[in-house]
Amino acid sequence: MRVYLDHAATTRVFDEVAREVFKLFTDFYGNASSTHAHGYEAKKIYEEARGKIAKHLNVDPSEIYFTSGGTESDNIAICGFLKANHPDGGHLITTQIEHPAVLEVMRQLEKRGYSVTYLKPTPEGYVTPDDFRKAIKKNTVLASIMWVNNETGAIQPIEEISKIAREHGITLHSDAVQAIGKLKIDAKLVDMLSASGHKFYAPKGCGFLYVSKSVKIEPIMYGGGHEKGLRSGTENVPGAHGMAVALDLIDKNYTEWSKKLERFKRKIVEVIENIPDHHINGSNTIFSHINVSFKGISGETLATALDLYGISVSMASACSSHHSIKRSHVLEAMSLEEWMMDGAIRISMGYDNSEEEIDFFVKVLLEEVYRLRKMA
Amino acid sequence: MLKYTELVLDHFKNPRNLGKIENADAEATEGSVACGDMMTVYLKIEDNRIVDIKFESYGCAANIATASMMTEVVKGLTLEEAKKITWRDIVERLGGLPPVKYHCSNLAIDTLRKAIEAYENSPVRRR
Repeated sequence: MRVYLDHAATTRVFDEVAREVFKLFTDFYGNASSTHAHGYEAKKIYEEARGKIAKHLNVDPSEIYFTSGGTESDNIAICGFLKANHPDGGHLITTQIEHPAVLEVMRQLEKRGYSVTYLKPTPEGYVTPDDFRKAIKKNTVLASIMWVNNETGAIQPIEEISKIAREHGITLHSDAVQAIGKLKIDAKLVDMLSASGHKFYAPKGCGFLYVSKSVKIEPIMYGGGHEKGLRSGTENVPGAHGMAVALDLIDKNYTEWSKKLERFKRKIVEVIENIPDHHINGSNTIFSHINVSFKGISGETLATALDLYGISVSMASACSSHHSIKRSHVLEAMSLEEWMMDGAIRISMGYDNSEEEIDFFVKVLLEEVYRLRKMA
Repeated sequence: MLKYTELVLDHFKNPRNLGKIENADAEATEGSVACGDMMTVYLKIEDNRIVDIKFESYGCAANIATASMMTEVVKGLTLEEAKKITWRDIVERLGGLPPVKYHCSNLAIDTLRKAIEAYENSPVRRR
């Protein structure tokens, strides 16, 4: 049996999405910018997708821009906003636990004269509104705070942070790559929001960016002026349509699917809690994620052992070279004990997991934890 | 998972000579600074020959597999022969290792040599 428990890395495209997308490769393949019937029919599908996605986010279709994915959305949001409004510098706030798609942008901006505060999370894996407030300076112009952490699944206090940002006139961006398709979110809480199709059962290479009408933004890449000039490049109609179909499906089945994953999570956690010397990394976590460490077993060892049974999970730390172990920057920021950082595995479930798969996983997990502990 | 050979995975799943030797003639524990892995090797020695060897390990699949293979290779060898075994011998016997994991085979060899050294310097041995 093969069990995929790495949905935070990527998801399998829903069958219905794959069928719908395939039609666009073969039947409705026109360039959405062309002024002929083939183009018009592609454009119609493209704009319908924009409308559906906007509805899921409770925003206006004109505020949704299609991109190639999460990384590009983050880059356009942060750099495009600064270019349009604060080209000469300013203070930015982000967190130590962001995805590299935000962290690396911030590091580049520091080189260009911007100052950045990186909020430290609590040992539970989330930043606090209080720390956010304390970080604000007179020249703070932008904050980028992720909605859900990709490694721990910890949900960040966006609602409270949004209130504080509004009070101080700070533009707020959120990398919501791990939240879209899992949490019912009101995008209006933030001014800009990034999403990635392949994290919610749509194809890879597509994503979107929500930019509130009130935000002035400039492109960071130039070309044919697609997406109102913000993101040039031939419209990815299959990607846009795929994302809309996937979100529709999730919306239609949300109650049943989310309850199922909550139940699976309870089942896994119950088993884990009966194993001595474990630590669940992160609290207030999304229903799909469990990040856990077992004392005396490295995460790399456990992930490898599970892999031999056909179970795919992700390890947080691994030997990255002859001279070092590459630790998760997220778990390091949480100031966890060494064994918790080195022993962490991330289990991330998806709507397509079955009860049988979860039962098999917990059985193997128990066996392997006890087997590997005997070696130490 | 890194690309391991079938033999590496077999030694990881079914490690040979795993455990502890009570009243061992020598033992050594070594840690890899590279990645925090740890290993303990226990030796039983008769007439300068390794008659039994066991290991305990905290580490990755490569660490466990290299230790397991090392014990198989040196069991029955004289101390002089065992000292000549290199990390390359272990890697070759396993059909290769990802280069990023070579230091694991180093750890296995280092721990073995430390255990032999402990035996050679022990009062029992000097009598």
